[in-house]
Amino acid sequence: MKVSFILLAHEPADKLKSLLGALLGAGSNVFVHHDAGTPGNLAEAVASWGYDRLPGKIFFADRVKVVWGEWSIVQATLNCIDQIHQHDEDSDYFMLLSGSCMPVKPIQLLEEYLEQSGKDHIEAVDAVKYNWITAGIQKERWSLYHLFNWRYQQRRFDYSLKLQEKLKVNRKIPLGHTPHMGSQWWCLRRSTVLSIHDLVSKRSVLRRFYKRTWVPDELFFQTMVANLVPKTEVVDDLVTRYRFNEWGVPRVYFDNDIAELLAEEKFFVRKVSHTALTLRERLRQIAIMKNSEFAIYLERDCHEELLALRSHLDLLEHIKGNQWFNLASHLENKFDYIKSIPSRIIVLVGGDRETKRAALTTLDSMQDTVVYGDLFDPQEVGAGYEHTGYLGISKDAVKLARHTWHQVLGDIAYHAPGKTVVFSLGRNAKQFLDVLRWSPLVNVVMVDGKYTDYHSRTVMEDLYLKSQTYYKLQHRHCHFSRISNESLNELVGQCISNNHSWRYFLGALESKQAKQKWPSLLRQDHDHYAFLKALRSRMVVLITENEGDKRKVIELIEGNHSVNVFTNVFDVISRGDRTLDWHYYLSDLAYLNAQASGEHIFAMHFSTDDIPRLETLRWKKELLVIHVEGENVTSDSIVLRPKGAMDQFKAQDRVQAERDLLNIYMQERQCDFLSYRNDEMDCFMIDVHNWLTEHAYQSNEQF
Amino acid sequence: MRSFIKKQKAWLAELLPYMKAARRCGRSLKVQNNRTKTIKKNDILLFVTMKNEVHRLEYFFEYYRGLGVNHFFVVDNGSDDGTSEFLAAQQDVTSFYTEGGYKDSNFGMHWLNYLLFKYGCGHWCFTCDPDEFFIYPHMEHRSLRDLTSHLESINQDSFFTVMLDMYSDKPVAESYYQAGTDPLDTCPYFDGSGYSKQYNTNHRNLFVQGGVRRRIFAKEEPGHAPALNKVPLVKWKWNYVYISSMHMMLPRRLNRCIDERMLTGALLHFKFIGQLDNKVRQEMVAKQHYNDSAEYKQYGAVIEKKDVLYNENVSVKYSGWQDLARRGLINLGGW
Repeated sequence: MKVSFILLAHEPADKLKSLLGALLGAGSNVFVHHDAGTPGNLAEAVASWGYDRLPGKIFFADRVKVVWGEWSIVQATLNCIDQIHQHDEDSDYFMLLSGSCMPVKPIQLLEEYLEQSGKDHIEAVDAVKYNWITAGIQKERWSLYHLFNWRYQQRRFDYSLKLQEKLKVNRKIPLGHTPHMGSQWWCLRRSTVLSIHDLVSKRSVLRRFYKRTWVPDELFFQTMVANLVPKTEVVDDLVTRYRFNEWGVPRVYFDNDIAELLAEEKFFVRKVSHTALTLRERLRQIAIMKNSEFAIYLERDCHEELLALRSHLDLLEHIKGNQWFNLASHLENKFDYIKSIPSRIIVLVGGDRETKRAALTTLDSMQDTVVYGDLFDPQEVGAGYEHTGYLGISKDAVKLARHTWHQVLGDIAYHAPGKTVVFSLGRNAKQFLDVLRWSPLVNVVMVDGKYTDYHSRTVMEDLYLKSQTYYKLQHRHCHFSRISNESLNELVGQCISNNHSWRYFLGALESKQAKQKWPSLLRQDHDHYAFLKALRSRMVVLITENEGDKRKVIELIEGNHSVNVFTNVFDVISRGDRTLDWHYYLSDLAYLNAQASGEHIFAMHFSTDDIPRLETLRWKKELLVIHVEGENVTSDSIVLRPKGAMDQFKAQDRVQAERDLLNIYMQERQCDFLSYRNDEMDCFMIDVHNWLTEHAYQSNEQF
Repeated sequence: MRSFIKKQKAWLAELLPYMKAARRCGRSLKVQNNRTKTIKKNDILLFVTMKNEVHRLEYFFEYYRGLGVNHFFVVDNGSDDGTSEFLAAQQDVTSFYTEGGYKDSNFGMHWLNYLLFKYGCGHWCFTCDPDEFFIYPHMEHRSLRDLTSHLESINQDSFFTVMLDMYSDKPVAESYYQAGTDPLDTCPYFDGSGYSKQYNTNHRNLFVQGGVRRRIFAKEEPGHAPALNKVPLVKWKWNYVYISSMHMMLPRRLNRCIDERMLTGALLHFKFIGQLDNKVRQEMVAKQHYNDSAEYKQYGAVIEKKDVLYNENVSVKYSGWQDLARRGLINLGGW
C-alpha cells in the first residue's frame, strides 16, 4: 500500500519545507502545484534542502495562477493528476493537501488505514436532495454563469446573478450527472483518479461547463466521484481534520497545540501556522516514523504533553462552567446577571436584627452554606452577622457594595462553587427583591421571631417590611416562604441529624409555606379586595380630626370594651407611598392582636392623612368606620399672628377636603359607617356597643 | 433632502471635532527621530505618550519588541529625565517632542489620534501607556502577528482588553521599581475579582470598573471609578479615532469587540510603583490629569499614610494568562 499526495500550495517555498520533508521522508510521492502567483522556484529550493535524497519523489505540475472560488483551483489539481498519469507507477491512493496542512500521525499509519478501508474517502452530498451550504447560494453555483468573483467583485457578482434569474438561465450539469458537493479535501483510489483524468481529457464539455461555476473545488471532484464510483465504494470519512472555529474559519494550530494534536484521531490537520516551527518539526518527525515507533514515542516521550493536555482541558472545563461569570458574557443588566448565577441563594428578609441573626446562625450550622448579614445595609456591608464566606470589599464600602450589587453577589457565588449563598436584607429590601425575585434559584425567606410587644415601632417596622415583601413578590419566579425562627431551627436540626440534602430542606420549606396563612399569595390571580374581605377580625376604624378627640375616643373604647386601639399604625410607611403593600401588614397586626387578646376585634385610629387607605378597606363587611368631626374653624377664631394667618384658613380647607374624600368613599361601601360631631359622644358609645354585639356571632362562626 | 444628507453624514459630523482637535494638537509635535522609512507594509506599530518615565522604558521596549511590535511612535511630553536620549538610541523608534499641555490634548489622546491618522492607516496599531503591558492567551507560543492574523481571518479589526491594576504587598513608596527589570517582580498582585461591568448603550462598549482603584480610591463614589475597558489593538483606518483615552472609539462598532465567542486580553497596569510618589508631587502642581488630578490627590494620601494596597481576600499573584482566563477576565474565544 502506498499513498501519494497532491499538494496545492501558494506559500513561498521555505514555508513548505516541513510538509515536504514529512511526505517525502515517509517515502510518499508528492505531485505539487505551486501557485504561479507565488514568487520563487520551489524545485530549486527542494534541491537545495537535499530533499532529492529522500525516499519519496516530487513532481511539479504546470503552474497556473489560482484564484479562490474559481476554476483555476480545479485546473491546478488536474495538472497534478496529469503528472500522476505520466509518472506515477505504484501509488494506490492519492490525497489532496494544501500548503498549510500537516500530518499528525505517521504516514504508515494512514496507509494501514487506507488498506483496510479500500474505498474512496470524499464527502459527496447529493446537492439536489440536500442543502450542503448552510448560508449562501447552492444550486446557483452551477445553474448560473459565474463571470465575477464574489470576493473581489461582490456587487457585480450579485447583479449578475439577479439578471440571470430574471432571464431564467438554468444550466444543466453535463453528461447527465447528479451534482454532488462536499469538502475540497479528499483521498481517492488510483483507479478513481485515473478514470476522472480519462473522462476530463475525453469530454471537453466538462471543462467548459465547470469553468463558469462558483467554487468548483467543492463540486467538480465530488460530482465526478459520485457518478463514476458505486456508492458502496465511497465513504465520507475524511482523513483530514478540517475543523472550523466558531467564526467558520479553519482552526489554526500553534506550537502549544502539540498535546491536542497528539490526541487527534484524523491523520492530517488542515492548518498549522507557518510560524509554529517547533510544532512543524515535531509533526515532520512523527510523519516519518514507523507505526511501532510512534506507539513507543507516545508512551515514552509525551508525558509532558499529556499533562499539558489535561491541564488545558481542565481550564476549558472550568471556563465553560463559569461562563456566566466571564466579563465577556453579555449579562450586564441586573436581571439577566442574577438569573445567570448558578448557585442557590437564600435571602432572609426581616426588620429585626436579632431574629435574623438567630436564623442566619441556624442556617450557618448546615454544611454547604456561606452566610452573610445585611450585605447591602446602608451603614455596614454584611451588618448583623460575621460572614463566613468570601467578601471582596471592606465593611465600610457600603456604596461600593450597592453600586453594582448584583455583581457582588456574583463574586460571592463564584468563590463558593456548589454552595448555597445565604444573606439577609433589611429595610431597603424592596429594590433588591425587585431583581432577585425573577431567579428560580432564589429562595426568599421571611423569619418571624417572638412578637411580645407588638405595639412597638420595631415590630411594626418588621411587619411592614414583610408586607412590602409580600406585595413585591406577588409576581415572581423565585421561591418564597415565611417561617418562624423556631420551626426553622427544628427543620435545620432535622436535616442535620438525618443527613438530609439541601433539596429536602428547600422542599420542606416550601411545604411549610403552603400551610401558612397567606393562601392567596400562592396564586397568580391574587386580589387585594378578596384578601381584605378574608381578614378574620372585625375591625373598627376611628377617624378623628384633632388630638383631643383622639384621646377621648380611644379612652372611651378601651374603657368599655377591653379592646386595644392601635395608633399611628401607618407611621412606618413613608410619606407619599400610595402602594397597597400595607394590606398584609394590617392583616399581620390583626392576627397578632387576636392571638394576644383572644378578642377578634381589631381597632385602630386613623388620622385624617390615612383616609385614602379606606379606598380598599371600605369593601370589608365586618368593618366599622367611625368619623368624629372636630369643631369647624370659623372665621371668628382667626387671629393675626406675626408669622401670618394663612395657615389657619388653609388648615380649614384641608379638613374640608378630607371630609369630602371620606364622604366620597363612603357613598359606595360594604362596611358600616358612623359619623359624629365631637359633642355627640354618648350616642357614639351606644352605637359602637350595638355594632360589636350584632357582629359577634359572625366572627364566632369564622373561628 | 438636507436632513437626509445630515442623517447620512451624522457619523462624519461626530468624527470631525476629534479630527480637528487631533490636527490642532498634532501641530505642536516636533519630530525628533524620524525612522518612518524603515516601516514595512504589514508592520505592527505601537503608539505611546510619555512624560518622565525613563525608568520604565528599557523593559517596555524589550517587552513589546518581544511580542512582535515592529516600530514605535513616541510622543515625549517635555520629559527632562533623559527620555529623549534613550529614544534617540533606539533604531525602531520615531519620536516627537512637545511641551503642549497633556490636558489640552485630552491626556495624550489627540496627539496619538493625529499620529495614528498620519502613520497608522493600514497597519495593526497598538496604543498604550508606558506602564501598561499587554497580555493575551497563548502569548508564550503565539506572537502578536499570529494574533493579528487570526483577527484578520475573522474580519475583526479591534481587540478588547481589560486593564488590571498591579501593586505590591508593601506600601507604595517602598515598592521601588528598578529600571530594566520586569515590573511583575515589583508589583506581582492584582485584584482577582470585584470587577463590575455595565453596557454603555451610547457607545456600545462594555464599561468595566474594578480593581484596586475602585476598591480603595473610589470607595465613596464607585460610579466614578476609572474605566478598565480599553481597545488598544486596532487595524487602523483613516476614519477611526479614540474618543475617550483608549477606552472608546468611533465608529462605534469597534467598541463591540467583547462577547462570549471573541478573544480578549488584558493590560497589566503598573502605576503603583515607588516612583509614583514623585509623579504625584509634580501633578499636584501641574494638574494635568483627569478631573483636576483628583485621583492623584488620593494616591498622595495613600502614599503619605503608607497604606498597603494588598488585601489578602482579594489580591492574587499574577501567574499568567491561564489564571486570568480561569477568573473570567480574559476570553479564549476558541483561539
